[in-house]
Formats: sequence, C-alpha cells, structure tokens
Amino acid sequence: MSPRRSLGIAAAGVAAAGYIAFLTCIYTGMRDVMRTSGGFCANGGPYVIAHQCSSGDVRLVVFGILGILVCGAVFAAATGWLDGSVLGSGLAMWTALFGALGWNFIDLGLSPPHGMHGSGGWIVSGVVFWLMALGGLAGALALLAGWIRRGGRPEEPEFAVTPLVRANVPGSPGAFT
Amino acid sequence: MSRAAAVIWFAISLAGSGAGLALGHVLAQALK
Repeated sequence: MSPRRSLGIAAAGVAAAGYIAFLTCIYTGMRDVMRTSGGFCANGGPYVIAHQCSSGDVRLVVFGILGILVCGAVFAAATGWLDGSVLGSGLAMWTALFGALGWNFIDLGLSPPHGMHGSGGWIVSGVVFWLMALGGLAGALALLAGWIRRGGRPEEPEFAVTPLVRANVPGSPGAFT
Repeated sequence: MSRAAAVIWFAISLAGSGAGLALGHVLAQALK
C-alpha cells in the first residue's frame, strides 16, 4: 500500500473516531438538558431565566458541535483523497447524527422524565429526525449499490466531452475539402 | 477507490467509530 493511501486510511479512521466521540458528547449534553430542564435552558442576559444551563452541558454541546464539524470535514477530505465518495461519507455522517439525536427525542418522548407532561412534541421531533436520517441512509445505500454494480470502477461521466474545434486533416473521415 | 482499498477504508472507519464511542463516553464524563 502506498504511503499516500496509508495516510488517507489512517486519517479516515482517526476522524471517524473523533466524529463519533464528539457526537457522543452532543448526545449526552442534549439528553441531560432534556432530563433536567425539560429540553431548553439559557444563560446570561438581563432577564430571569427559569432553566439555567449547567456549564457541563454547555461544554458538551459546544465542543461536540465544533468537534463533529472538524472531524466530519477531515473524514470527508480523507475519503476524497482516497478517491472515495465524499457524498457517501457525508450521507453516512448525516445518518449517524440525526439517527442518534432522533433516538434521544423518541426515547425520552416515550418515557419522559419524572414530573414532565406533554412530551408529544419530542416524539414528533424524533420522527422528523429519523425521517431525515432515513433519507441520508437511503442515499448512502444507493451510492453503495451503484458502486457494487460497477464492480468498484469509477462512475462514467454523464456528459461526453467532444471537442468543439478540430483540425481539418485532408483525407480523414468528415474532413472539409 | 479499488475494492480492496474500500474494504480497508470501511473496516478502519468502523473500528474508529467503535473506539470513538468508548472515547466519547470518557470525554463526555470529563466535560460534564
């Protein structure tokens, strides 16, 4: 295996680990806010805030979002560097993100925290998140199926590139006389 | 990407995701 390929695969592995690690942080922070504050909280400003965000939840969500953006970009770039499908890797990350966060909505919507009433909105949000995840999964699977059908060969270009200006070679087919 | 490279890419990404899940739990506890 060439050094370029080894480096690309290593970068993809590290970025995938980082992406899932930071996604776990977002998942944990979101779940904590839903359990302790009914799903919303705020910090700062001149008004009295009913649900103060804990500094831990703020750290989890902020570092989590920044982390998945950076790791997601590195993962897609490494996949592209290996001549893989950037779109496919992006769709896989999309599916993981909305699938995991959708599970939080569905799970806590079906068994809400003690003392909480009316969690129907969470179930609706969870269904919407899972539909979005399903869209990403369908796209990723379609790309995978196409790749398997082609036997791993790159996709044919959709438009054939024909030259607009050609040399007039006397005697050749289609030559001007 | 060739088939062999794609299989290695997939396996390494999957292994990385598993490691990331364990790392994420540790990281979340540390940040919390």
